[in-house]
Amino acid sequence: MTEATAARIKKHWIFATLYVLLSLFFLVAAAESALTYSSVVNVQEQVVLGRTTHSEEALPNGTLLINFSIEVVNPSRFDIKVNSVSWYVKVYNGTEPHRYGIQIAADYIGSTEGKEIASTSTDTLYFTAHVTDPYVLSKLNEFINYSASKGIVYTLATAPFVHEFDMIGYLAEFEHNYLRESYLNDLVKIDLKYSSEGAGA
Amino acid sequence: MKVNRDDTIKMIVIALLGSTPIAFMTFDFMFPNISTPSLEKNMMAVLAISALVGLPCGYLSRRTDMAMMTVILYTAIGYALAVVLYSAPYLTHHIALILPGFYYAMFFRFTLLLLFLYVLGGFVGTVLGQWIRDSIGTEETSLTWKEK
Repeated sequence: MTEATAARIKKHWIFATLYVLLSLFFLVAAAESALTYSSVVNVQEQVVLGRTTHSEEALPNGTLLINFSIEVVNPSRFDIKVNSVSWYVKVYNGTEPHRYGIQIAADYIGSTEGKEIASTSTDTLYFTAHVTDPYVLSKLNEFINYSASKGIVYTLATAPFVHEFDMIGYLAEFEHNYLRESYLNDLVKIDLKYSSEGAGA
Repeated sequence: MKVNRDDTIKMIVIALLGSTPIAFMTFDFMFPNISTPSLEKNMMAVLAISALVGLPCGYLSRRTDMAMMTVILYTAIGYALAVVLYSAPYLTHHIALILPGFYYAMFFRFTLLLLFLYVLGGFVGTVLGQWIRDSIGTEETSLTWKEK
């Protein structure tokens, strides 16, 4: 640098220092933001559904008791705010794509429940349904009787129940209510699906 | 324009220091919900910071053409740095990018307007910087002659 420039910087060292500090501030902010972005994208691969269990029990009074549990594994450093959880139990009659599903039980957890999956933890969600609706039970019995006529023997407890689970959550510390820029919502969204049919259970 | 070694060094130093705010603002514009701190896509704030970043170009350079070149240079370096920040997860975590064409097209489409703001803000800052330098010079001269 020329002596004139060096002298000017030396003379106005406060100005020069402020400019360097401004640059450093934005450098740190950019690095921190990029690291957060990397972590957020990585979370999409880290958060998974874990072990599942389910049981169906025919009670002596002809009703049906169904239990289902599923683990949500969150090894990331972010809490997950649950937006919705859906659980369905169905019996499918027929094959894809024109199959007819008899809905046996369902449950739903909405955002108003305020449920959160804490960071670096595994949360187990439990669902229980006592199926007493005569309409649902009659449909199920019709299916069992029809199957028997075709040579496939089912009972109320051993019918081919399919458990379907769907959870949508958001990383709790980030905004996710954008109307136009939906990609920002998707960035911090966790969408997990499970079907016992696909799992071969 | 004729640029000597001293001018080149000055341009490079200012361009490197000025590129980090440009990189951050571009990244923040793409992901305001995860960046810290965030301008929340406030274009006036972007213009104001651009002017602030352009200030030293005018303050340290007597040549307007060189100051303007510096603005364009730090905008280019900052924007390139922003592309690197935007690619960070795919560079550090070995995550496969499914549609790279779409991914980068979205970035360029969203942030193209910002380039104009950076350059415009930088030019405004350059003029302000020159004005501040001249004002200080005038004041100093006036005080010196007053004492004598």
